[in-house]
Amino acid sequence: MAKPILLAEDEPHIAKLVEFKLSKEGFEIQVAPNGGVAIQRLLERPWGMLILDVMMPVKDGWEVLKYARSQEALKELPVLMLTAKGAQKDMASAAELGATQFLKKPFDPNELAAMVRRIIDGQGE
Amino acid sequence: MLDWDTDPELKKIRDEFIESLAERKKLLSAELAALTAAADPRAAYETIQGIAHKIAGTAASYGFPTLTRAGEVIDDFLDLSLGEDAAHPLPDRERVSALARMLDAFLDSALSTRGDDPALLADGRFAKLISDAESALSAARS
Repeated sequence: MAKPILLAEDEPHIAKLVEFKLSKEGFEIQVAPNGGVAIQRLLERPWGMLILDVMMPVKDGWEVLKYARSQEALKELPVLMLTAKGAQKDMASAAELGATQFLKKPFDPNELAAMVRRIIDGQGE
Repeated sequence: MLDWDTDPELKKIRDEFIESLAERKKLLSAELAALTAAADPRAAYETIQGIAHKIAGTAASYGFPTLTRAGEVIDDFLDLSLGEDAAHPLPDRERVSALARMLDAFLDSALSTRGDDPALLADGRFAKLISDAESALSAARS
């Protein structure tokens, strides 16, 4: 059975849409409403992937990503970052900090699902 | 894009998003009133930018690309003077008020039709506002 995906996203309308779409695609999704909760959840169980918003309260996406990459158990966890449109520095930072991929907001939910599928299939899940 | 009407759960999620647009419209109206009264417009500009930013980052995902476009124009324009690397003076109130009223009109359209209306971007009331804001952005980035 595929490992669940952790979605760290504070905007509830984006979280609901992603959860709906990815569930329809057969993935199990759990949502962390801020970066602090995301960090707590990351070591609770094995995850198939982390989908990570940048702007979040408590801890932002950069802090969560840095934390994930500092943990031996999470070094290889695929991370898809959701960045603000036109934020070139976001994309450069994402790559530098070890994000697997990034997707600009607002995104097409079909494109997000296809990207998640490609990343997870590439991991051999 | 998704077919919003075929799945009841998806339709419900979209309806909830559209309700949230009504809330954002109320916040925007309140901020427009505050802008008129405030001695220093900066706080009102920041709130308007925040509303525009949220709309820009979500609306198109729910099938409202025109609303995203309006939000982006305002977010990017206000970022010139409010953003991290801002080097521009604050724009005048009339200009920001006009942009905020444009976003309000786009929200009205989305709320009344529950659909997207790309014709708004070419509407005589708004096309010049958008063009002027984009010219300011191009000048700033050159």
